[in-house]
Amino acid sequence: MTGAINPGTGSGSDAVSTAYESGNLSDLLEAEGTVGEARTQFLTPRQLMLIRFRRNRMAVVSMWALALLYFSVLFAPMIAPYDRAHRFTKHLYLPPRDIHIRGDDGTWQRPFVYAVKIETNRETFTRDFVEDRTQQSPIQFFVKGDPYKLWGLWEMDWHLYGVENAEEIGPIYLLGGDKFGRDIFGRVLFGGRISLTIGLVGVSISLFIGLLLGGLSGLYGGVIDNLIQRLIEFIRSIPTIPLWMGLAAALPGDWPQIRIYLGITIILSFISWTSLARVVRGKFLSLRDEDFVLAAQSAGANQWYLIWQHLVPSFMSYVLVDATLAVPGMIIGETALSFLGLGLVSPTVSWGVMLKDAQQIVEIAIHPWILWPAMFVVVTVLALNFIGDGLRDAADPYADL
Amino acid sequence: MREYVLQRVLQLIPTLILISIVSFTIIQLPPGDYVTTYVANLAAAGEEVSEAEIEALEEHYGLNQPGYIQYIKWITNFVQGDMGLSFYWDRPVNRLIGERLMLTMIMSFFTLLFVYAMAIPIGIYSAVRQYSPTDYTFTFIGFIGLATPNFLLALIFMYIGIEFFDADAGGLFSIEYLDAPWSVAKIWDMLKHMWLPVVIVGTSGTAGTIRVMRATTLDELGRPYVETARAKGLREGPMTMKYPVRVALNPILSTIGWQLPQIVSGTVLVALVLNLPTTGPLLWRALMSQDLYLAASMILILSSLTLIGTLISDILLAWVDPRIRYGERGTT
Amino acid sequence: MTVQPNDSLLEVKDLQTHFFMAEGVAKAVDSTTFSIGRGKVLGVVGESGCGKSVTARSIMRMVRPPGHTVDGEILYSRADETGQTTSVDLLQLPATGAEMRSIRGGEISMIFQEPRASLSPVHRVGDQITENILLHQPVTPSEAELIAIDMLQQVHIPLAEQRMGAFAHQLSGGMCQRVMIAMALSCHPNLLIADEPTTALDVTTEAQILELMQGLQAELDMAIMFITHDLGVVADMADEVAVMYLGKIVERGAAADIFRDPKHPYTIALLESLPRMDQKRDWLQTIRGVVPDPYSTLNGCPFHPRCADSMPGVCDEIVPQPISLEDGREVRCLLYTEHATQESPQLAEESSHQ
Repeated sequence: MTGAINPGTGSGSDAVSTAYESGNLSDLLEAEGTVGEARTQFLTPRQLMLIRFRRNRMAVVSMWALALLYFSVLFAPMIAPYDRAHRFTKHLYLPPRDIHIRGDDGTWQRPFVYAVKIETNRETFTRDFVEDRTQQSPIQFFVKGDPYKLWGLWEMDWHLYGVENAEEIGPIYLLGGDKFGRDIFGRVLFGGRISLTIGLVGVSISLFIGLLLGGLSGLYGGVIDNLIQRLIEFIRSIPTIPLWMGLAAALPGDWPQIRIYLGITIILSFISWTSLARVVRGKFLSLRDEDFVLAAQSAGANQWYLIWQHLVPSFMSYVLVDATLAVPGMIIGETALSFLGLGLVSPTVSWGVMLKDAQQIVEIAIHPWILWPAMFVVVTVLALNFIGDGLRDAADPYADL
Repeated sequence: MREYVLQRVLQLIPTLILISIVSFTIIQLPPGDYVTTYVANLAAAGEEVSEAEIEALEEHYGLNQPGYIQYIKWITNFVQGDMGLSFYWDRPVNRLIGERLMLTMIMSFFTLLFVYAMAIPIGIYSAVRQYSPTDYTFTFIGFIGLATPNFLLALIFMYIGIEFFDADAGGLFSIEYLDAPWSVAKIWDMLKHMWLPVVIVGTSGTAGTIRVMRATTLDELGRPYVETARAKGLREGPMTMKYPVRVALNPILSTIGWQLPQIVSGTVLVALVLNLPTTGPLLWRALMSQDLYLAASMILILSSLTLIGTLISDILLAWVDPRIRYGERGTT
Repeated sequence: MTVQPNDSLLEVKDLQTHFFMAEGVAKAVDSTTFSIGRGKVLGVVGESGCGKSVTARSIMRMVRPPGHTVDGEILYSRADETGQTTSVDLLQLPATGAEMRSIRGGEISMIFQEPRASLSPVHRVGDQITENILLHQPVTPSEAELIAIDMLQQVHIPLAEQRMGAFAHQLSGGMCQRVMIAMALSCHPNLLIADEPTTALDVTTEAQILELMQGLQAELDMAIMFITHDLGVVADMADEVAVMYLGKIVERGAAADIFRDPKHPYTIALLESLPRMDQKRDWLQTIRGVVPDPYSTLNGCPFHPRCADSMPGVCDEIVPQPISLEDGREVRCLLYTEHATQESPQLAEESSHQ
């Protein structure tokens, strides 16, 4: 609690918050003399932001969910029971496996799956997988399986979980298998490496361009500002998807996947830098006239010192909030382009590439679990939005504590 | 006011020229052209194509000329209403695009209506009843709506349609009207099919607009002029509509222009999933087969229509907001 | 100068308006009692956050959640057609009911601190005035327009007819406040509540607006509750002055008496921080410290941490109650009670220099 924030009748807080933004709250109050010093303590803006953010339950939960997701993606080959390209040809479109902890005889057991066998449905004449109640296979942890090289560094062959004799009794597919008999859960983790990083890389690029052009625009104004503003208006007036589609289609098909990945990232950044540049410019313009900047100016501060010491710190939190909120758009963009076949393509795995298999509505109707990657897209985007919103509320220096 | 309109219209022209160059360049970017793709396809099918034939093809499509000449030819004809020939369909682009473009525009228009018809009342309600269960419900639905990409929503609706209603949610017409000439019955049939894509495309826009409407209304509710109005002894309901809501509507209406590119984008994607006879699938096929004139024309037309839509909304806004009309807030 | 009880237009008794926040209950107005005589001017003075504005909004029944008026009486005496006056407790009326709405804006009206922000940015000022007239008077729209023009002329707005069509952003701050006054007075209210009406204006404009309000007050014979943080502003306008601190009235009495002989240490400090009438601020003479935050539960007198005359062991333990002094003065200070008898050298010194 700080004595200076006075939510009941907030008049007169203007002078306080200006000083507060620049971190000079204690100076200000020292000058005025403080009451009840013992119970009044002062926090830096960043500490205040952290406290406010922690109070936003949705944002905190989202933060943890996202952290878990990024962690799993980092250790994807370890957590996934099989390699991303491992095909169980006898088990195409295997539905998600039921994990049991109670045997047929009603006894409690360690988690196990029943073996699957293929039966022809007499009514529809389709071949369905059914559980073979006579054969149990316990889920084992830290099992040996497909070899992999973690982060391209260490040769390893153990996986977090698995079942023995998978070729015969059916692989352990938590979220089912795809048309080639590959593990959807494992592929979601591998695909997340692309889908989750494309947003971060893309936002970094946008942030760089946005800060540069937005800063130039706000700092120099005049012709430069006018030109940059027209450019932004121009880019924003073109419908995104056709533009993205056009640009993505322009990427040569014979490029290696890593280059396509970068190309797609740059295409996605091509639009999102504009909104970041607008924020930066707006902040520059409004801060230029703030009292604390004028004060520093009249005290003889040099321009670059002013920018780095006063301007950048005071708008960086806003820019980071907007950057956070730009990540979901990029993730959706990548998913959409790959879904259309204009972005990344197999054998690269991304959530969009996986969803490409779900283009045929008939496939979804029969094997609805192929939509699982969509679930991950939605959850990720939702979490990022909550975090962004939480950060924005927390960064608002006028908010009550 | 007339000056303002004139100025805005004049500003539009360089932008349109720029867009035409950009669209044409984008399509020119990938190595090879339609003929290379075509020949490669023929070769894959086991047919031999001689050099002379390739040259003849290139000449037929005008592809042997330098890019800027191709552009100038295309754009001069374009302005006169001739958008060139689609290589893939071997038909004039105008005829291919015509009806699909109209359907895209109709769909975008209805989507815009849907977005505002849903978002404005919900946003006002959420603001006036801040932190009520209804407010929380709408906020939550809004978040989900924002987080779900259009095309996924389309897939999910298709799945629900097939799984639970045994109905194909795709298409814009029933089979009997598919090739029928336009009639009242066909329009009615189209409207019956159109609501689903409209809802799908409009969801994220609606969710976003609800949030903006709620935030601005909340902002305006705390302004001194609301207190003045209340101090006059006005009823709370009409007072809210007449003062804070009226003011909060301005930024909402001013972003109509910004909604359009998103909606057009959405219709393109959703049309692909739902297999609608709009511009989406056509553009996709044109891009995939490097169908130069068709793809460039479509990007140009979609962008131009978006720009014109933005212009109209800006003019409407200047008309309703005196602060803009008197040039005090500059052009956005 | 004392106000006779039967002569009073508005009597506020033991008013309590609290704000229920997550952090606790903020007692913005904490048992406040005062009255305003018919046709008289009451100046309410205090620092930011002392509860002046909330008191005004409590009278108007315009306190917004999380604020609630939890206790007290606001007796307002209305005159009916026969000239008979009846007293009605505004707190007993439904805040949004028809009767309260007819009083609000019709019989009691209010003007605010930021004149331009107080006018709608998207409605013409003329329409905003006529709206008020049409709400409270049985006239046609064209008659209302004539009344509005007449009101604009009365507040000395040049070219009143043209100004009817103006928007707030086209007028200066002073002009906007004149429009606000015209709007507030358009239905000849019995009481005008002015909440820091000149704080946002520059000094010259402030003087003009004050002069205008004084003139209109005499002309229309209405009472004014003038809220300000600036004692100088009320000096030659108010008949009575109430000094508020942290939701309580700490001193109340005839304006002349208070300026001549302030009793409460807070009033004394306020007057000392007011060097000359034509200067708005003086950083050299300030009151020690700031207003404590409203959630704090200070023991004893709320002013004691900042008080120059605080008596240790007394002021930080006993909550002072209003004490009636001679000439109808009321003061909430322990210096004027038996607690001060042993150890009050400051008080002796204070009265000697008068």
